[in-house]
Order: sequence, then structure tokens, then C-alpha cells
Amino acid sequence: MLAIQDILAEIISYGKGLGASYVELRSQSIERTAIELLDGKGNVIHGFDQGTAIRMIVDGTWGFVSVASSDPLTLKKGAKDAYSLAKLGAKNTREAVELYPVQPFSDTIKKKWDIDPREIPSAEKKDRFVNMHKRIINSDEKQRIQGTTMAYADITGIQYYRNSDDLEVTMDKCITWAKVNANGKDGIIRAGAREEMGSSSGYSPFNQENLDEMAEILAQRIITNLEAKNAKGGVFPAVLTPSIAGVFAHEACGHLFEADITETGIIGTTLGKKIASEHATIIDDGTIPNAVGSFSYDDEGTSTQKTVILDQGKVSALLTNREYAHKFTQITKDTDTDIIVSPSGNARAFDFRVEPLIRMRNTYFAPGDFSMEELFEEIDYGYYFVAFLGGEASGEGTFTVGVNEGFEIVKGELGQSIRGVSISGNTMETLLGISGAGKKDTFRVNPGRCGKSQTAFTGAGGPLIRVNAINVVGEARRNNCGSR
Amino acid sequence: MEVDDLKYFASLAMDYGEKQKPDEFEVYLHYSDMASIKIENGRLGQISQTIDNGMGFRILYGKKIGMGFTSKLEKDIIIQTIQSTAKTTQNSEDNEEWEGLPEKSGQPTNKAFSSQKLLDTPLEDLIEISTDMLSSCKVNEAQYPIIPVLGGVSLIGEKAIIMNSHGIEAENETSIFLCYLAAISIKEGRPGPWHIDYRISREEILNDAHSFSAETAKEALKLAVAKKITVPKKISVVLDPLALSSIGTFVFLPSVRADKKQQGNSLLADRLGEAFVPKDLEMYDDGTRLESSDSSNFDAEGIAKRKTIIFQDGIFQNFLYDSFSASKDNTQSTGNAQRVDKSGVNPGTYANFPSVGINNWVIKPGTTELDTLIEDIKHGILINYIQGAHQGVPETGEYTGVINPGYIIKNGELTEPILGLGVAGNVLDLFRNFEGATRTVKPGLGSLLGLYDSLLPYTYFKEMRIVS
Repeated sequence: MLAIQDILAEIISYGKGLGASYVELRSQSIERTAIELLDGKGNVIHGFDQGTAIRMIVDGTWGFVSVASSDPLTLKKGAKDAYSLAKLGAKNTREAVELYPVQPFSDTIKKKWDIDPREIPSAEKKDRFVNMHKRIINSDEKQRIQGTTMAYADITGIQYYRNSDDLEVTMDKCITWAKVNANGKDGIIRAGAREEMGSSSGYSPFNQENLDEMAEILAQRIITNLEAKNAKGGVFPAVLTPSIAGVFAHEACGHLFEADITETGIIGTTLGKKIASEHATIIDDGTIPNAVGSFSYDDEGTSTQKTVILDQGKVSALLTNREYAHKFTQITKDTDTDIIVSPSGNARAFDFRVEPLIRMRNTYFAPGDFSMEELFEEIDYGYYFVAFLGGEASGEGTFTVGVNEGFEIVKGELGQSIRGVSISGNTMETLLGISGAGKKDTFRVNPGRCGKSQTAFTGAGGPLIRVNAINVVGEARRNNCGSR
Repeated sequence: MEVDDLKYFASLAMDYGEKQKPDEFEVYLHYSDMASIKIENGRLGQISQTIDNGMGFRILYGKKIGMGFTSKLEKDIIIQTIQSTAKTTQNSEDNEEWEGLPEKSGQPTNKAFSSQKLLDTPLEDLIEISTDMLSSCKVNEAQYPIIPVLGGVSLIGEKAIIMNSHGIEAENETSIFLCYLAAISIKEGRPGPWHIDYRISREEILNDAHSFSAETAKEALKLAVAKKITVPKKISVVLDPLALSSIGTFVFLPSVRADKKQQGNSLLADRLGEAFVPKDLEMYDDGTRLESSDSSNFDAEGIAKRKTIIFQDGIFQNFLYDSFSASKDNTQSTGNAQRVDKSGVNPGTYANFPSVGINNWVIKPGTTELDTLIEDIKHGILINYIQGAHQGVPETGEYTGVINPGYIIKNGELTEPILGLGVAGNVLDLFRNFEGATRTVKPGLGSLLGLYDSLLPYTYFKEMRIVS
């Protein structure tokens, strides 16, 4: 029986023989465990996923086939189909796809996970979350915390990648991840809280101590929100924690630097230009140990890296795959921009079912020199936004971020807690209004997920960030059940 | 893969499942074949075919319940997965609330949700539609450039088999064509908001790609000058089906799910039989509509899908159930079991546990067209999309978000395009302000946009709160 890498090599030769100018195969064998709990009760799902993605360029057009198999005959048929698809499309393609050139190499990444999640019995994994549920529910002596929803997943296995540029990567993969939502009620006032946890190094973060700590954070946030007052709407200065700053860095900024969006988005005309305050440095980084957005190679075999996309307010790099690295090399070669575009290691596919897209890894604001006191002291009245609820942004540069926990800042001091707030605005204007970044000791990167047509595990964070003016949607949201 | 192949694997799994001597056993097999053509930044993108298949099974020993899955349909792998899941399940704790797998219930509509003619569409035809969409996305003598930034054409065929030890043997076959196009216009180097439009059909592929795309371009061009303007704090609004669908998905519809009610997280929890919306606002869940995407004969547990009334005569009539939530309320499933990857990290319907979902959210159409509906509005906003609607709080019915984009309605006519205005309020208060709906309804493109599938008209509400 042929080894999988040999099968992939054979299919690549077959694809090239058909007439493809480029062929790549990505085969995965994955074991998955998922736990879903509602109020501490629920189900464990465990199973196996195996499949292969075949992608090729024929006459300048991409063809892609995904099959739930690594069987040579199935892959051969898949390669033939991918060729036919691309060939058909090529008749109507006006702009041929070209890839940024790479040097041939081969690498094998064998990982020893801190704790291999496959070695922990499913029942034990579930029990830890059941205990967490009990801890959250019992945290409030007034018994205002009502329920929890929990989702846990571990995805562990191996990926074999090979392409016709003689680039070959065999890589162990492991992601552990959980999302916990909790909610509470006090009369007609409702409050919720959410947190995520995750790692690219194994199961170790899911120890009872960490889960207890998360339980405490969630419970405290609900209590804080239940006792909070409604926020004023309007434009105010604000200090953002790593949670909110990270979502802003990811949603409002990071997406605009993904080269497929940059091409027609608002950043496209600003390459190499200063667009933001000198306090705004944003990095997309696949090298942070343990972070959910970290990995050795992306899904085109490009080594991951730390990419500074905004350097003290200046657009300094884009997030690319090989196709867009080539495209932007052509776009920028006759301009006066000093940006050098190359593959940045951002081509990511969730699994074999889908093609790699340009996705962020761990995106964060770089730390600055300000202490927390210094960031607060110039604010007469504003807000301290602590935890986020969700975010969304558009290519033309508008964004909105829901705030899950926040406080007033009154004359430079932390004031009363507020609830029911969103922030929104124009990304460029907000970036220009950044007036300070906190020191390293306030820095943190949190795990999360991004849903640009397929899920990617992404980290987001930063230090404390002060913004001079941000649009606060408040007041009208009352967190109650409406009139009856 | 043919239905008979799926049946072979399902029967094989049932045999080996029963050899583990469980009290109950269920097999769910799913196969999908999707051909897609992508449009990206004004170019024809990747042409793809994605074939996904797999099997999920639930095995029960008394009140101990376990679930396993495999994407590899091979005898040895199937047996091995069933055996290991059986062993793990026997060592697990009881789920005291578990009452058992469902029994056969209801008669399916037996509509033809799959069309072989549609599935036989040559790929060349799909590519031609994509090419037409690209070449037609323009407006003659437009003052600003227009770019079709994102779009796609897909043809999807799906088959599923559900069998359980209580005698359920259900088959679903569906096919659907869908396409979408998002275009922008660029004014002085600054991109305007997206205008997105879409079509779905079970009968035929898009036969008016040119006009579909030209209309999208025209709308995108109008939006190039969209800006934030000041409007009164309370204003009449007409919601595009897409805008209403986002409020429904993130804020209202979770409350119609029986599991949410049972958890104490439904704003409708104690309101069954109570009248609190206008009589004209009739709404349903209907998994049998041919024109909507999430329709089939059976739900994910093999229960016949049906039409379930949510509001009629102003009265809240029904919650939606799967078999588990129905057993807790001592009632019958409404055919709303779905196997959805809720967190986006567990792909493959077969790899997900059934839970309550919305099939197609339907609002009864009105008697007028959009132009006539708008004619009666002196000052209002047509809201095309609400950015950030997912930040709403379904437990309270609170929605929030930013209009991006929309149009001012002045003296019965659409005037300037707008963006960036914040909206907020309570969804039940919004429904109370319902004034009417258009005759024309539009099926939603739910799964693509992360929304529930729907069949909605444009809806007119006499008041919505503007908060920025």
C-alpha cells in the first residue's frame, strides 16, 4: 500500500500530465470530539473525518474538488474533475491566475501536545464543564444567574500537503476550543455574558482551575450587568480593553488588510500611507505560542510569520496568499509605495471540504507606553469598554462592536457599570482618534473565531487602547422584555 | 452516490448497531454534491465541486445516550466507530430528561424537492450565468466605477437517509440552484456600501442573469453617495426581507424554539394563546415550501416536516419542537429537528446532534407592491441591511444595529441613500407597529449569510427608533 505522501505525489504527476500548470493536494485525517451542554446537560459527539482537497490551475483558472476520501482511485477521479472544471472555466477567464513563486522544500512538523485531548476520556471532559456550570449558577447568593450554554471541541490529527512546486509539508494539528454563554435575570432585567477559551498546543488550558476562573469571570459579569445602568448614547472618549481592542483590530481593521478585500476596499488606495494615529500599530501574528491562530505553515505551505500591517499609523503590509501576493506585486511595482508584498502565510482552510482563503491569525494592537492611570486621567466623561458581544464590519470602512461589559469613566476615575451598549463608526476616523496604547502588562490575546464564509480559529487582542471619540449606541437599549 | 448506496450503508450500520444490544439506535446518512462558480473582485474565480458524505448515529442504553460519526463510508470504519461509541456510551451517565428516539409521526408532503432536470444542468450553463453576471454588472455612462466584488453560482444536490430502531425509515432528496451578487461603486477612491441580491430555485437555473446583474449594478451605483444624515428619533420604516431576516434570526426566532422556552430564555415563554401583535401579521414556520431553501419531506430525525403557525389573528399559537423538546412538554415534534453546526467548528450535518431549528420563516404576504407601500409614507426609511444585528439579545427581544445601507423615503418616494444610522428597540414593539407587507415575497439565502431560511415580503412598520 502506498504511503499518503506518495499517493499525493502520484496524483500531482497525473494532474500535471493532464495539462494543469499547478496542482496541490491537502489530505487530512482528523479525530473530533464535540460537547454541547445546555444548563450542564447534553451530549458528547465523537468521530472521524477524513478527506482530501485537490486544487489546480488550468489555463489560468482555479479548479477545486473536495472528496471525503484519500483512496488513490477516488483522488485520481477528483483530479480529473478538478482539471475539467478549471478547463471549462478557463474559456471565460479574462485574467489568468498566477502565483507568487516559492522555493521547493519539504518539512515534517511532529508535535507533542502538552496534553493530547484524545487521551482524556470524553466523560472527564464533559464533567469539567458540568462542574463549571454548577460553579457559575451557584456564584450569586441572590440566585440571579439562570442558565448556561456550553460548546467544546477538540480537533486533532494530521495534514499532508503537497504541491507541484515541490513543496511538501506534513503537519500534526490540534485545536482545543470552548465557548461558554451564561445568562441571568433580576425582575425584568436580563443580562448575559460570554467567553471563549482555546489552544493550538493541546488540552492543558482546560484544567479545572482555568475553568473555575472563567466561571468566576462570567458570573461576575452577569451580576455587574444586572446592577448596571443604561449608557448615554453619543460620541465619547473611551478606553478599550484587549477584548474590545482585539475585536476592533480584527473586524474593523484586519479584514480591510486581507488582500482579497483590499483590492476593492478602502485600504487599497492607502498602501504605504499614514492613515492612523502614531499610537496605532497592528500586527497579525501566526507565531504566538499556544494561540488558536498559530500554526507552522498555512494551507499553501507558506511558513507562518508575524506581519505588521499598520506601523505607527502607516499601512505597512497586506495579508496575502500566493495569488494575491503576485497580484499586489504587479499592482505596486509601478507606484511609489514602499510596501513589499509577498506571501504572508495567511492562506487558511478550515478543513479539506473548503479551499484556502486569506484569513487572519492572531491580530492585535502592539503595546505602547501608557499606564492605565495615564490613559484614564485625560477623560472627563467617557467609557471603559471591557468585554465584547460580537462585531461586524464592511469593506467601505464602517464597523459595529457589541459591548458585553462596560463602565463609565468620570473625571479620570472608573465609574458605574453600564449595559446595553454597542460602539460603531468609521474605521479610519476611529484609527486616527487613537490617543494612547497601554504598556505590555495590559497586553493579552484572546481566542476567537472568524466566519468569512468558513470558520477560522483566530486570536485577537492588544493592550489597553484609548480612543478620543467613538460613537456609542446606548440609552435606547434597555435589556428588558419590552412593553406588554 | 445513489440513494440505494446510502441505504446499503444505513442498513449495515443498523445491523451492527443492533449487535451492540442497545435499547435504541438511529442512523443518519447524508450526501451532498455541490458545484460552484465564484465571482471575486470583478473576475471569474474558482470552479469547484465539493462532495461530502458521512454517517452519524445515536446509540442508547436506557437513558445513556452517545453519538458518533464518520465521514469515511467503509464497512470496517463504520463498525469500529459504532463499537467505540457503544462502549463510551455504556460508561457514561444517564440523561434523566431523555425519553427516547422518535416514532413515525405525520405524513410527509411528498413534494418533489429534487429535480433531476436541474441536477443535470451542464456546468457550462452555470459558468455562462456567472460570466453573464460579470459582464452585465454595469450601468451605461455611470459616473462612478462599479465592481462586482463577490458572488457565486451554485447547484446543490443532497440526499439523506434516517433510520431508527422504532421503525423510522425516511429519505430526503433535494436540489437547489442559488446565485448571489454583491457589487460596490467607487466614488473618488472610496468604495460605497455593498448592494447584494440573490436568487434561489428548485426548478430552473437563473434565466435572467443579465437583468439580475444590471439591476444589482444600478443599486450599487446609487449607494456610492450614501451618507449618514440626521433623521427623527422615531420614524416609519420598510424592511427589506434581508433586514427583517437578520432581526428574525438573531432576536426573535430563538424565542419560538421550544428548547429556549424550556431553558427560560424565550421572551414568549408565558405568552402562548395571548394576542399581542396586529391581526394582519401572520407568520409560520413551513418546511414544505418548494420555493424556500430549507424544505424537504422529513426533518433530521425522520419526522415529516409541516407548516406550524406562529402568529395568527394576532395570537401567539405554537412553539417549534424536535422530539427531545417535545417529550419534555408531553407533545409532538413539529418536524423542526436540524443537525446544524452551531459553532462553525463541527462541519458535516452527520457530525451534529439534532436540535430545534427553524425550517423556513414565512410571513404572510400583503396585497400591494413595494412602490404602493412606499407611496403612503410621508417620511421614513427603507432599510436594506442592518449591520451588527447579531448583537441583539433574543432573551429580551432587544435588537440593535446600524443601517448599512438604506434609503430615505420622502413624500412616498425613495430619495437619498444612507448608512451608519443606529437602530434599537424591542422586536415585539416593532411587530406591534406592523402596518403591512408587499404581495411579492423573497426566499432568503439563509445558510450563505448565517441566517435562518425564510420567505418574506417587504414589511412596513409605522415606527422604529433611531439612536444615533
